[in-house]
Amino acid sequence: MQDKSTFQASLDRVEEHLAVLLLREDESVRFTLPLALLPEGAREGDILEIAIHRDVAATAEARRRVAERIERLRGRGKE
Amino acid sequence: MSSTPTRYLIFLVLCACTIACLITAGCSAPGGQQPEIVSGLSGDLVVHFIDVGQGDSVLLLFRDKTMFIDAGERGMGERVIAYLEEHNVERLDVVVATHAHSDHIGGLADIVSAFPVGQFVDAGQAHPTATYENLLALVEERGIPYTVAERGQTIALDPALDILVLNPAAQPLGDINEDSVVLKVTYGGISYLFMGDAGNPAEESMAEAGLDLDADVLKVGHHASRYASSAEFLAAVSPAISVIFVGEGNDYGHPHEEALERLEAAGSRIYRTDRDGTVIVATDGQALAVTTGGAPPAATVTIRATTPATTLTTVPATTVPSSGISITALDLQEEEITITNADAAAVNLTGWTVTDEGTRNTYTFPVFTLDPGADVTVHSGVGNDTPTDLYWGRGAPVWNNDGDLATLADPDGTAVSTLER
Repeated sequence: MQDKSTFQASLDRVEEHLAVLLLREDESVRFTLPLALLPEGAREGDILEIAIHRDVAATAEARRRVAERIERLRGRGKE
Repeated sequence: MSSTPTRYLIFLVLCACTIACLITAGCSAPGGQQPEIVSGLSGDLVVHFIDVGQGDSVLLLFRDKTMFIDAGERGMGERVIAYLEEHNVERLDVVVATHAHSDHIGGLADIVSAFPVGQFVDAGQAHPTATYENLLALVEERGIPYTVAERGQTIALDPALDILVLNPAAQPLGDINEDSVVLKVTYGGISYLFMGDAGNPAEESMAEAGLDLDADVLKVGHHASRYASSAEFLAAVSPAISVIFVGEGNDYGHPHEEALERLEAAGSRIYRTDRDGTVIVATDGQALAVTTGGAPPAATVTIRATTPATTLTTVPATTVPSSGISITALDLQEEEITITNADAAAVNLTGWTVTDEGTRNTYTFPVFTLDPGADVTVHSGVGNDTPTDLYWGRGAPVWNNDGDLATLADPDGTAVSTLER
């Protein structure tokens, strides 16, 4: 099982603090990201490598916290 | 025309200049008289601002010649091809890529593949996207003559048309938008200015170069971004008609309110592809006619007076039922005329006109729908339009207090109802 994917996107343009990205190589998929998330110095025309990791540990921890809170709330309802 | 009620006198004294500007829409224009905008004109120059959502696409037809500017995003190619085929386009003499952003060139590869192209005019900025690279590869493979546009060049589409490249300058500004290809197309006394995504820096560059920016129809720069269409620039252009390419609910907030306000302040009529769909602006070299919604321009030619015009007419794309529409009241003293819809269905009155006896004055309905059973009163004076009250915006009375004849006509000019008082 892969916990990571990487791909490339062209920074086609910047509109109103939004980076407009085209998924390479085909570029038929277009998506936007807040410009602030891009590395400093990123400019129009740049080819960006985007990596996505699943943070398994953070996910498990958050799930545990939420489950705990549900239990707490349910217990309060019975009082 | 009649005795002048006191309130009009006061109004005239206070606001004479403003009102005069509103009515003639041309007194502040450095380029002189504004052209007449009429209905039912079939000009030899027909410019189609094709609705491609958030992106640009322009088809220019002149007699047997064709020029095409931009083709929207990648997914719009098929829609544009279908539109061109509907309009019997078989070849594109000139294709212009204003700049390499995907909302302008995304659909161009499909177009270049679908039609023979005589000449490809490009901004020539080395934008490293695959979309642009693949487009250039296609142009090269097909052996299409390729030119990089530069200020001062002309494009020879037809001897009767002047097509001048206003931007980019020989020294580019170094920004893809600001180095957009800007074209001014002139036919007779009418000019169109196509801005691509050029904004304030390009506007300043063109002004500093001393270029004649005066135009009647403006393809508004950069989807009416706040960073384009400065007040100074609009004063130089003084467009009678402005067309904004913009997609409904786009992520970027286009058109920006500031830009719209500046266009309104410049006295320009604004058309937007998100609201009006495809907008067609035709000319015979003297007057202009606008069709919205993608319908072909009307086939009849309107004979026009040579005097500067004050009437503005829009041709709606849909035909409207008119049986139940009539003038139900005309108050000569109060300067009010009331129109009632007795139909069971709402009626689109956009582009309908009200005229007085001898057609000395013409009121043209803005975008307006009258609900079944409802009536609307058109006041001669100035005010803010509501669903029940519309304002002609005149500083002087329209109706003759000694008696007058009102005529309501549909956008084809067919009289639907008259009332004499």
